[in-house]
Amino acid sequence: MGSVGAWGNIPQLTTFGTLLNPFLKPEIATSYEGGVDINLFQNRLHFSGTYYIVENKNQIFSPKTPPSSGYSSRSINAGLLRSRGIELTLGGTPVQTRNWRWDVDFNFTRNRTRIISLPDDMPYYTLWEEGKGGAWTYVGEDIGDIYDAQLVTVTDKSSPYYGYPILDNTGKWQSIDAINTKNKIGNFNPDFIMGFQTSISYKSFTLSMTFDWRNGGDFVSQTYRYGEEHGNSQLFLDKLTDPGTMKGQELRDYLVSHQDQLVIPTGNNFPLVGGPTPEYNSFPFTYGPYVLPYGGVFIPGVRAKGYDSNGNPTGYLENLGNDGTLTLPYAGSTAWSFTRAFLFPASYLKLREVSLTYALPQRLISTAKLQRASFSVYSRNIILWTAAKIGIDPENAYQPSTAVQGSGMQFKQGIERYNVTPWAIPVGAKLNVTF
Amino acid sequence: MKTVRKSIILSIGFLCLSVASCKKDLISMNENPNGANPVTINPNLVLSTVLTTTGFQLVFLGYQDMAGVMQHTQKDGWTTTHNEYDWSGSNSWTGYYDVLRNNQLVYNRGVELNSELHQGVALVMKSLIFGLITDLWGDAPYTYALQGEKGTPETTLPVFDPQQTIYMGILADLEKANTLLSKPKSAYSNPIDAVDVYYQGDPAKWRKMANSLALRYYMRLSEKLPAIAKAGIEKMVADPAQYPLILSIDGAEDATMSFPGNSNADSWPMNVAYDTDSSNYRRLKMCSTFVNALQSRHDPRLGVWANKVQCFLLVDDTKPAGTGNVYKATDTVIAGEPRKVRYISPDVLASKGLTANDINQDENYVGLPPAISGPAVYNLSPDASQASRNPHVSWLNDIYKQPKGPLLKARIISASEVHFILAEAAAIKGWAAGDAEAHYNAGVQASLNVWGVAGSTAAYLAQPSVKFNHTQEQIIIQKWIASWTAATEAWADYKRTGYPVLQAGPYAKGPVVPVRLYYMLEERNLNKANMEAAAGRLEVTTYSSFGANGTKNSPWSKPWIIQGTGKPW
Repeated sequence: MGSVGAWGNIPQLTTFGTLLNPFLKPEIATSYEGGVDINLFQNRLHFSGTYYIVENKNQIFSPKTPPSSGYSSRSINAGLLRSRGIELTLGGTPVQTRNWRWDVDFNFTRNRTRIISLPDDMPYYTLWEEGKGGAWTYVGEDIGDIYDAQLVTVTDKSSPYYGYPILDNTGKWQSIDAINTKNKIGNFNPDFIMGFQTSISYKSFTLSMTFDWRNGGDFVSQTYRYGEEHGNSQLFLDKLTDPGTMKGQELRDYLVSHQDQLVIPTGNNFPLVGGPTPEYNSFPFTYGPYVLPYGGVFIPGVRAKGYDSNGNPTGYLENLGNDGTLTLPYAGSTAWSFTRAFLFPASYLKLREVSLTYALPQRLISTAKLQRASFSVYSRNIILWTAAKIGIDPENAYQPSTAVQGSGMQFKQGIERYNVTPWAIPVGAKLNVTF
Repeated sequence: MKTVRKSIILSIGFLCLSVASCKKDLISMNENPNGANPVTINPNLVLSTVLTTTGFQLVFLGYQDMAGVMQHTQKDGWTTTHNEYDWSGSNSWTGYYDVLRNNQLVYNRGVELNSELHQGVALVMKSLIFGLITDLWGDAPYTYALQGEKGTPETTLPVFDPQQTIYMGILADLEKANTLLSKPKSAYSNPIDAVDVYYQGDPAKWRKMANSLALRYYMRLSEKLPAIAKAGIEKMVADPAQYPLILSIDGAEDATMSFPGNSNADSWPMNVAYDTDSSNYRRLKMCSTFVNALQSRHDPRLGVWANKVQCFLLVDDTKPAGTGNVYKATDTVIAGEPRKVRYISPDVLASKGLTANDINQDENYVGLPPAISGPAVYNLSPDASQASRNPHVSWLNDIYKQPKGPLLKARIISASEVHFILAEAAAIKGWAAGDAEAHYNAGVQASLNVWGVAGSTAAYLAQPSVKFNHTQEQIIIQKWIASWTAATEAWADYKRTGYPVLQAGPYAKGPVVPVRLYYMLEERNLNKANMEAAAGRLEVTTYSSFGANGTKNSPWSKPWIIQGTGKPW
């Protein structure tokens, strides 16, 4: 029994809403691994490769149960998680002369974790939820999948409005629950990660560099999500369609002729026409009893004329800047609740470290009774190239939270919020002495 | 070799011993020596939770979102769930099933202890909460609900029972409770006085509550199962000794719960004592529908529930141009009372594109119209923020800032409601339920009594608009007024009768007032087949498409209780 506090001086006890399980078993992890190591040409060329499978069985889950069962979750042993991965390294010394030496090393890793089975009545496992979407994984699919609610659009291919959003009677986007549509929008895991290290030595000088390349995967930027909602995101302001001097039918024709960019939402682009200030040629809109002269936008799309008994639209009204178009205040008309609007590619290439080392001459060392001594200058994070180009390091795509399933603190992967720190390029000097 | 074998045997023996003792330790280790054990617990420790949580949940509904639906109040910030029926496609019932789980323990312990008082009270609470669930959602898990600990498929994923089954189950339970609670107090050996925040352990009052709830649910069935409703109500009215009801117009038998006010958890919701910013209190405003209904009847309760506007508007063409363009309050006196006024010259109105019809110049009470866009700037508000300090709209009475007070109560069922039900049964249904007019007058009087304005009863009842005219509309409107801070019951009446006639506001999600809540996301995800079967039994209407979860599970799809009734729209 637990306590929920007191009502005045009357104690209030409660039964637990989670079903505990006295028969929990320990988790079992089984791993298989195979690999080769090859060294050739007197270690001038070396290769190693590993393939592994790790199976995690009997994980302790707290799957949710329908609240009407009296309990919100229960603890069970169940499920099978299978991770498969490959790790390759290739390296060598292509040049080695009396004064010169050049070393290179590549490594390559790829990992996929798949949910092989879950408790019977648990169709998916949730990692986190944000907006109308989140990261959850269905049985038989890979950890890291990101889902979002599906925008309601015209699905009839023969309609001239095919792909246009169907707006509600106030002119806003409508959506279907992510759960009902299985609308996968991405995965936060990379296709692969590659590292590249190289060093070139000439006599006593060595120049070393380390590169990291992550390819593939996506992340959700809450920095931009909140930024857009608060009107602080230039990226989203730049996406707004400025109608210029166009009005009515002319604007409608312009939008329709550029419908793929300006009307039909694709990727993280949710078109809006107008903007927050007169400079964007924003629209008047109604707020309470007032018509405010600027600061309005409209969402290009169509509205249903009515619905038949199956709930299908009986016809469409255009909301494209022509007569009858519904304008909304810019604030509060963003794609805030759609996770997809804030999904960015996570690929990046980083020059993680560069250093120049000078090894002190042997005779100097000997007199000082040392074995080795060197002096180096180094720097980190010199170059970051990202596919998203939004000023956020995809490596920082994690957000602390209380766990969605289970308890305690955890980091949500593939999503970040305000994880933006000023770009620091440390420059240092280092003296290495070995006795 | 021999010693080796000996030591092996010995160690195996030790191992066996230690395994055995280990197991025993483990089991006793799993028992919390400092906690109460559900097998042996005194049910009073859990009954307190059941009563207080239910009371709190009911007042939270009836004072917040249901008050919005029934247009008692509107909000001028965070408006979606209150003004616009925008519940994001999901309404949680977890809290209600949690209370029912605890209530089940009270009942089971009552059976084990042979305590009829605990059994009776638990059945009343079970009926109340399941009644609430089915009123709000329609079909819902009932027969197989709350048994998740059994772990079988039908208890882990409980089927949704038809609404009729639930209402009939409730009426059967209340009949049982009427018997269980029929003894004098001294006959019960396990008192609940210390934890009974409704009735301080008085079984006679609990018995009246049981029968009054039965009356409520019989009337609920009056359109769909009129024969059962008629028989049930006439049976109770004919035999007051066997079926005592809450009839005392002084409110002494009303099922209510006061608030200790020691912490936010046991205080009136949205008070300002524990919400230093007070924005939750400030966001709530009187709704124009309700204010107009009360003002047109010179209802003395309006002043108990609402504050007068801090500063009223007055368009005055004698004032120089530009007057009142910026908020400026001027002292004045109205009916001997110092007040504030903001004078406005007609040109200022014109410059804002408004006419005198767009603003409300009432000196005393101004309600916020239902679901308008930009409610924060209504009536020339000088403050457009979401927790508005708009001085030109009526805020709730200052008593609702307090964490506790003599009028701050969760009101679960009252003599006023019972009298109105009997008035309707007699006048509208033509059933043998007593003198309709006497019941109507008693219903009005009981409400005025509990709100502390008993002195105005005769004058109030003498008005043509209040004097009994034998119409359902009049009875239900009075019931709706009396349901202030307990608007959930008014919603059920609205669905059944279509009264009071309400218009949805222009910014509402649908063009008419909804008739149910959405089945919640967790049930849809985890209990899909059963939920879909229940949703399939809802009647899709022309408004169903306005819901956020398809046409079936829509607030505008009709549950069984109003299917084919042509009500409320």
